[in-house]
Amino acid sequence: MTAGTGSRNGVSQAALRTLQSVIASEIVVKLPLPTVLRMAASVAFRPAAFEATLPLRFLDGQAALYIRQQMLYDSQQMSDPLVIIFGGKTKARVLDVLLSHPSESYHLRGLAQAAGTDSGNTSKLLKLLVEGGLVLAAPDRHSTRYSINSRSPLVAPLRQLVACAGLLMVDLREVAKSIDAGYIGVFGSVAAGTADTQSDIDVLVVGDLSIVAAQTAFKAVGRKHRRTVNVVAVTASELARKLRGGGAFWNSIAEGKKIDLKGAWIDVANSQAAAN
Amino acid sequence: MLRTAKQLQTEASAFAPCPQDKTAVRAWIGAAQAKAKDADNNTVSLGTRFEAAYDAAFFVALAVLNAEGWKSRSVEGHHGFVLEAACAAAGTSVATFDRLDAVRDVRNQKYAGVERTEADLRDAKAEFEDFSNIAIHWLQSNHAALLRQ
Repeated sequence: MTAGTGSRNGVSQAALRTLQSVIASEIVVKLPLPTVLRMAASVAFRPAAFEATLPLRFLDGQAALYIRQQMLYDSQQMSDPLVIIFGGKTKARVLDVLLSHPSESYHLRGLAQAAGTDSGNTSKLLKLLVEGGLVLAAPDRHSTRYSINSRSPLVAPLRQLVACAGLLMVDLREVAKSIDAGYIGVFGSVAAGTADTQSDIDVLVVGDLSIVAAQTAFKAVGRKHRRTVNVVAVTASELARKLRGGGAFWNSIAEGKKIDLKGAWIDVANSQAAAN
Repeated sequence: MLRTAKQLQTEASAFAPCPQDKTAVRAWIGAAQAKAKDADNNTVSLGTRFEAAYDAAFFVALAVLNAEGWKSRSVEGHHGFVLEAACAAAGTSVATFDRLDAVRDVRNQKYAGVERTEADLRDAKAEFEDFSNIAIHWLQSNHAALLRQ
């Protein structure tokens, strides 16, 4: 790359030099956070590249904290399946919010805040989604409220996709990784795609741990998403006994839809069938 | 961050102010000790012993809240609110509250016909021990007069 016109990690070199010189002069230490953020935006702000080039110790505490939060957020996006599938953070997060809360409507700013996106890009996306019939726009005084169009034939399959791959599932999978169990999966209304925002998240854990320990493991996710997580934990032999014994609850688990968080239900079912 | 009784009073009308009651605090501590003994009684069912371990922790939580000048109101979810506010008052970690609240969740699963195991009982007793040690130490440090004869 040629100095002055090229880019380093997506940040223009010319803009970077300008910002570096400002920071080197320690002016930035005395600047309020919004000003620092405007400066950062003006150099096509990429937090990871920013820290790689500019030591955070030059920034005041609030600005450094913001940048670290952005870096954490960016790293989460990298492992976010919806971002990969939809090809962008704004599309993924806005659709995640709208599809996860089908009975709610949002003003532009409220939606952008809930989705963690900026209002400008969210507005452009909403225009396309309304034109495509996936989102409804209803006048509300001097503003507009947006909600998912439940009559669209795309909504049911997209809700299923969000149920399997949304941020809630990303967080549940992270917890599942840390639990010593052969199988962990979501069952019930969330897996079936019929849950509303008040529905509990039912989780089945097949492993040698107590229900109390399994339940404890999911507490932080429940708190973060403001949802109740109900965990049922059984050993593999106990599961076999339950499934053989039948009963409405265990039949519904065996036959209902599941979202695998760790291991695959098909393997559990096959091993149960082989044992029988 | 755990919510205090004052916050939960505002958010959910879960608590009302009340005067400290030395007799009640001592009765709850005594009841908690009796329930802890019941949790060790292997002549009764696992479910009964698990319930006793949970009750023991809940009674300690009520004692902590009375010492802080609060009584619980019978709103939906009040057991969870009592445990959270008591943990906040006694200065436990969020992790301690999560484990205690998980015992409450598992206790409530009896209504769905889910059986408790030996491992669940062991965990419930351990969570009671952990919480009551912190809570009693806090009561002794901050409200010793309430514990005296």
